[in-house]
Amino acid sequence: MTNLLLVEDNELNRDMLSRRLEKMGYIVDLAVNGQEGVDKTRQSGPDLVLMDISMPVLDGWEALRILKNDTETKHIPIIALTAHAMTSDRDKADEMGFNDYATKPVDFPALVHMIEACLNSAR
Amino acid sequence: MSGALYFFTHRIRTLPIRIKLTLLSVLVVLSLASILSLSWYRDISLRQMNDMRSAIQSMDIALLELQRSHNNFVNLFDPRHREAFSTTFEQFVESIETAKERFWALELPIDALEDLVVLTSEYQYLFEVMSERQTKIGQNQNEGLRRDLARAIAKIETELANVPNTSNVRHTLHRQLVMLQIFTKDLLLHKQIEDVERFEDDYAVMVSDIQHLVENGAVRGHLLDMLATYRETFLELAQTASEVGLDFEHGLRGEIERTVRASHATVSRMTTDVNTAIDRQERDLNVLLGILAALFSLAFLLALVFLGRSISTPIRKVTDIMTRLADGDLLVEIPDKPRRDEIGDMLRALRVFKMGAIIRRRTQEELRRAHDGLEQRVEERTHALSEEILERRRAESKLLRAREDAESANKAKSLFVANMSHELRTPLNAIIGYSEILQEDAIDLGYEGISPDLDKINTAGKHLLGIINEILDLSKIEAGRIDMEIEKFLVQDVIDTVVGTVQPLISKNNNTLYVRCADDIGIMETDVTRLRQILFNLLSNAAKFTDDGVITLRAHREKDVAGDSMVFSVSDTGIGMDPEQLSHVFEPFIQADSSTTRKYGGTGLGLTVNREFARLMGGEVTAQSTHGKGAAFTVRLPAILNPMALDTH
Repeated sequence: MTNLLLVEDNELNRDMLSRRLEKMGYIVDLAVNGQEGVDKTRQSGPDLVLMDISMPVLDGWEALRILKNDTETKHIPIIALTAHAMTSDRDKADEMGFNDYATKPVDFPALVHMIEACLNSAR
Repeated sequence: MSGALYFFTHRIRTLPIRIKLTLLSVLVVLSLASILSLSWYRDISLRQMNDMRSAIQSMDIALLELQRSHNNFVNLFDPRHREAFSTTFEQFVESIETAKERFWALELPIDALEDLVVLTSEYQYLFEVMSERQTKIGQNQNEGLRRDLARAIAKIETELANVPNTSNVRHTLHRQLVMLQIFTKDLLLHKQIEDVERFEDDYAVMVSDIQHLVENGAVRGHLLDMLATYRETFLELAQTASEVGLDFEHGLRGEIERTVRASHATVSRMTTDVNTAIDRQERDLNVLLGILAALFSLAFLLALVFLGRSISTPIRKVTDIMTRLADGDLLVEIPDKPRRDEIGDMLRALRVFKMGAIIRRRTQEELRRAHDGLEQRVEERTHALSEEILERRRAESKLLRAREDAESANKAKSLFVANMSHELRTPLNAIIGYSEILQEDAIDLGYEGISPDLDKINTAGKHLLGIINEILDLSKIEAGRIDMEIEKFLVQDVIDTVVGTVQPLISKNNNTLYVRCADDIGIMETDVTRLRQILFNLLSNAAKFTDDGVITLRAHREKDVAGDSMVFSVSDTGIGMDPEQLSHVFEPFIQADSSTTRKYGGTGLGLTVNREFARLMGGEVTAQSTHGKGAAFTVRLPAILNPMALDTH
């Protein structure tokens, strides 16, 4: 069973994604902001994290940085979720350490594909 | 005539200076040469004349020599003198001949000479005759008539011996004979002619005495014969002596004397003639020389004056013109008769200077006038300007404030739009997402029937999202806040991606997509996302407006020295547009008509955004269409986008 952590501040988005992911068979944990995301990652160590970028308290970049610098968590693949579709964002995402990058509205089949790919390479 | 003369003198006056100077020099040389040669000629002539004079003098001397010889001859009866005379005479004749030649050469009158020749011939002739007579007479008692006389007297004396000296007859006769002899001697000594008469008287007496006193008839007869013979001889002697001339005035002697005198006179005449001729010639030559010298001097002076003035006068004139021009008198007249000498060149140059000076002055005048006018206008304008500036300043500050307001308004607006778009997107994402979930659930739960309705919700939501995105893009373009992300990529990859993405749309209306991509399409360096957006938009438009048709995507590279271009074209066999629609196709929110919007969907912003993006990327989008036949959209972009050339407005 694959454990996913979904870090998303928007309630509707959280609901949509988690329901669809669970239907696909994933176990989905939720975090509402960056800080919670970091904490929960440290605590439960999911197999993969889906991280929204623009969030209050701690945004996606910061959360990523923290997790990637933490020896305990740096091995966990993190996929960025964002409303922006700029190439600079993509490059930045790459640079910062995101394993992959998906834009909203999420192309769900593509996302699943991405998740599997990251999990495979992580293993 | 005077015209020609004037023309001629003008030609001379306008010769180049160096030629004038040469002419003068030539003239000087000629003058000197002719004067010198004339002097030389004069000297030669005079020398010849003097030679002549000496020749004549020697003639005179020769003549005297002749006289001397002849006198000696006459006086001394010495034949040597006769020879001397001959020799001298020959020389004299030669000298006359020489003089004659000289006279001919010098064109002196030779009549005197010819007279001399005649006289000389006479002299010679007379001398010959005289010497013949002299010979006849005999140089001494052993020659000629003197000998005869001596013999005759000897005979008579001998015969007288035969006469007895009775009553002194013999003595008387002897005495008478002696008397007769005395007369003879006297005669021979050239005393007087009366001796002949006395002889005759004494002879007659002697004859009578003989006849009377001598008895012997034979002796008487002989005596008378011998006396007669003596008398004949004596008379012949007297005759001959008389012919010779008893003194310098008579006979041959006289004639000779006269002849000699005439010769002397002639010689004197000649001498005078020659002297006169010499003097005349000398004087003539001197006069000629003088005249020639004067003429040449005059000619030289005239030439000097003429040529000199023809140099100095124009130069003075030129100097005058130049001075006046320099002083600023631009009205000075420059003679324009063409001259081909240095003066002519100077005048031509001066004309140019004058023209230039006049033009310069005019220009200066105009400048000054303009300047004065300008100054005045500047004052007026400055005053007007200052007022205007004040107003402008006020307007400027107003504008600045307005701009600031506008900018902040714009910023606020952009921010608003950006926020708005985010606020709009979030619920839209929910609509899109949940409709998809519901669809999945419906299928899972077996409610496939409601799937189409859910699909409509999904589609509407995506449509709205598209509009929001385009609005945001346009707003960003307007605000000038579009960022270009330039990267290198393979064009083929972009085409493949786009084609893949748009395929469902194409299939939906039963269309067929053809892709014609050139093999050498290569690499582009520009904003790949925007390019994708443009191509996708054009293809989806084509798909939308075409049913059961053909959509073609073409891409090729145009090479150029200035930089390659990429040309993409999307053509379809759809409904097309008429010219009216075509003219508005790129304007925002204007689709063919509202019915089209309803039928075909679309936001009305797509093409506008496309064109703006294309322009931002340094290119252009153009459209062609025929109503009912289809449409073709062409995108032209530089293969390499230079960030400096970005067109942001």
